Amino acid sequence: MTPVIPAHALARAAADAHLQVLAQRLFEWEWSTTWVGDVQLRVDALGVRADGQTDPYVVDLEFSTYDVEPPRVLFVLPDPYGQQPTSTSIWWPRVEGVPPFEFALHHAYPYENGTRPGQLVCFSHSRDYYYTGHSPQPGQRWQQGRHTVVATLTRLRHVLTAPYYQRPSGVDPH
Amino acid sequence: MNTTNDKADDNPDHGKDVTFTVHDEDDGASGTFTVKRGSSLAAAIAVAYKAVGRTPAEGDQIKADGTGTPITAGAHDTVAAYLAHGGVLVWLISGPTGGAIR
Repeated sequence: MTPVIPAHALARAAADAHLQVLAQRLFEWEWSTTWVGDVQLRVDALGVRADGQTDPYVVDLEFSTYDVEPPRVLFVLPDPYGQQPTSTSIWWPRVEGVPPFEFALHHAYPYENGTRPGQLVCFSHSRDYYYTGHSPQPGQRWQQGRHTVVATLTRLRHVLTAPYYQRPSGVDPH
Repeated sequence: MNTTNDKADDNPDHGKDVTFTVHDEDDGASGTFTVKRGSSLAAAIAVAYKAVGRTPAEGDQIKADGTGTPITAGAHDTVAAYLAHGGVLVWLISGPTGGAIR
């Protein structure tokens, strides 16, 4: 058994407590969460189209620096779990229009650390936002004690609901 | 639970209570509050903030659950007018969120 790193234990405890606050609303949304690692959470979410039809998505949240920082947010494949979907995947949502907050999905964002372009779920309640050259305005920046994973999940819920959410980006199963 | 009745008038319906649920979408705090239908919408919003223990701040949004429509979008004077024009009983408060503008 892999020993739990104390910092991870604290992060996990904070995340567990904050998720509990949202439990009833997650149930109402028909979303579910499952820990798949010490600080790695699988979120089974739904995209809701304008006609009420729903599409499943899997979001991976990684909490290693929580709640000093927000969780890292990635849309992933359910199988093999964690692999990032293609840009034409049924697991990569198409979002259009302008939500009432700043948000964007980038399938291949040019990270500055020299790695290959990667997925960026771009909003200030997602950790990678802070490592990709963004400059949040006052009030937008993640504040420990003010923001929790609730902020992350509620924003995702908004963009995964019509009129912003449209449908999966394609029919590719990967 | 908080109650406010800041707008007396002659409409008997305006003396009736209406109960809202409010969720803070930054930390998940939830609460309910009851106001008179004749209360001003501004007063109801103030009570909503108190119900989740939050102080209003620049850039905050207060929206209707489900539609995401800002509570103030219709510029209604009273809670009764807000409800008469399709207003919902569950409100969502959130602070500013940064990100790329699509």
